[in-house]
Amino acid sequence: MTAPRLAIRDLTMRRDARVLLQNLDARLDAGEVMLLRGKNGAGKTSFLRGLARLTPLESGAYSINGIAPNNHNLFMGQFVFIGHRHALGAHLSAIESLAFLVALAGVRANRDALMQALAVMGLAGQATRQTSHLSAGQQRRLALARLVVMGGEAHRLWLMDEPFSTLDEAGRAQLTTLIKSHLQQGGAAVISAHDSIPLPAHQTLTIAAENSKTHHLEARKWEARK
Amino acid sequence: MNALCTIPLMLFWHDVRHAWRYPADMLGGAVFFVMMITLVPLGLGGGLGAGLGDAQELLRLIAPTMLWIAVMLACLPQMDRLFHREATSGILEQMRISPAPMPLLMLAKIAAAWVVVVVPLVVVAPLLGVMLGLAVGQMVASTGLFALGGLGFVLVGAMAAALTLGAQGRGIFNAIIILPLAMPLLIFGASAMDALIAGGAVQGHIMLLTALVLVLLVLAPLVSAIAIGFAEE
Repeated sequence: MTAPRLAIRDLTMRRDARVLLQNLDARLDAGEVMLLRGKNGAGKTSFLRGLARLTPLESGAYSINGIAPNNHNLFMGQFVFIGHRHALGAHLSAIESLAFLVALAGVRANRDALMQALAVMGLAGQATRQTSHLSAGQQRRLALARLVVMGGEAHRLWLMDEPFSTLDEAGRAQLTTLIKSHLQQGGAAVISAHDSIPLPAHQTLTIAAENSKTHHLEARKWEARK
Repeated sequence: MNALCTIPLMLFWHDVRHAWRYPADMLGGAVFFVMMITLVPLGLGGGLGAGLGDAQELLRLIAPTMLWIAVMLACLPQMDRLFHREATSGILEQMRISPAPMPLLMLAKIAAAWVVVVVPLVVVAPLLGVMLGLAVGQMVASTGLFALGGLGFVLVGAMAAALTLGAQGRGIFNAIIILPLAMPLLIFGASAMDALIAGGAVQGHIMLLTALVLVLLVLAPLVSAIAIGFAEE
């Protein structure tokens, strides 16, 4: 596996008339985190949705694990997208919703694995509760629990849109541990946040605000410091 | 390639189970169906006093058409909401990034909608037909027709729901898209049933209805998948 987790070449992205990114070149290797910064409305979500192929990109090319997006069947198995919306069925129980989300991503998991994931996210007692009765933070934990279930799939790039929002202290710590262990197994993540995240980022991509037309990519090699 | 079958199947069960948990959604159409057919004889009863002839006979004549219109009207408003919950909850988003192709997932959702929306109607239809003066045997024989026509209505409704997803004034556009597509289903369905009751040749009508449903069966998942792609951008 020599292909980088994420390779972006000459990518230009536009939303309506505004240029979000112009001629971006970036590369994210195994074990690395890209932090996505920018003001509210700058286009962090659009960029992540663009990488997940939920929104079209203007021009340029990118690949995840060397697989181009037009190879739908294979490409969709190369990442996990954690969006703002949790994709939970309102009338289903927590464990049913989790099972559904994992299965939709094409991953097989038995009941024990699901229960264990719920326990890791501190939802062991909520397994049979209806998802609409869970609090906002619990729903976020439930959405994140699928990362635990898919923990074995280290090759998947985690695309996370402000994953730390609505989580309490324990939840943030739990998510940090999750991401760190994913990185240790050779995974990689693109994480958007409007404040600092509780783990070191190897690269920081700042998407420009309204007026200025350029983005800013800052790469730090943390390995070099050690 | 296994995922190609298992993911849509799993989506099908998810939708059916979700509807089962909240039966009010599932039975709303059937209740409407019963209400409408019950009101027809009552409404006619008032007008029939003035020597229009045998009320029973008239009722029997219009029964197939009334039943088909009622099935259509019970189906379509429910289909309007097919993708709404998924779009707001983010499930649609996750469906689009599933390894399974979107048209197959659409087909699974349509199949689940058929179970949730049409099957209750098919179950109560014989009872209502008898209320309108049709023979039990005739009604049982036309159950298949309702199931087939219902599938057609569900397909049309799904397509319209996908095309108008996220649009302002959804209701009006929905009606405009549905009307021309649902009309042939209604005409062929009702005439097939007429022929069935009159004891005439049914085969031709059934073949036409089946052909229409088959065309929709190919078209609807593809159109829905593409339309949702545009709506979600």
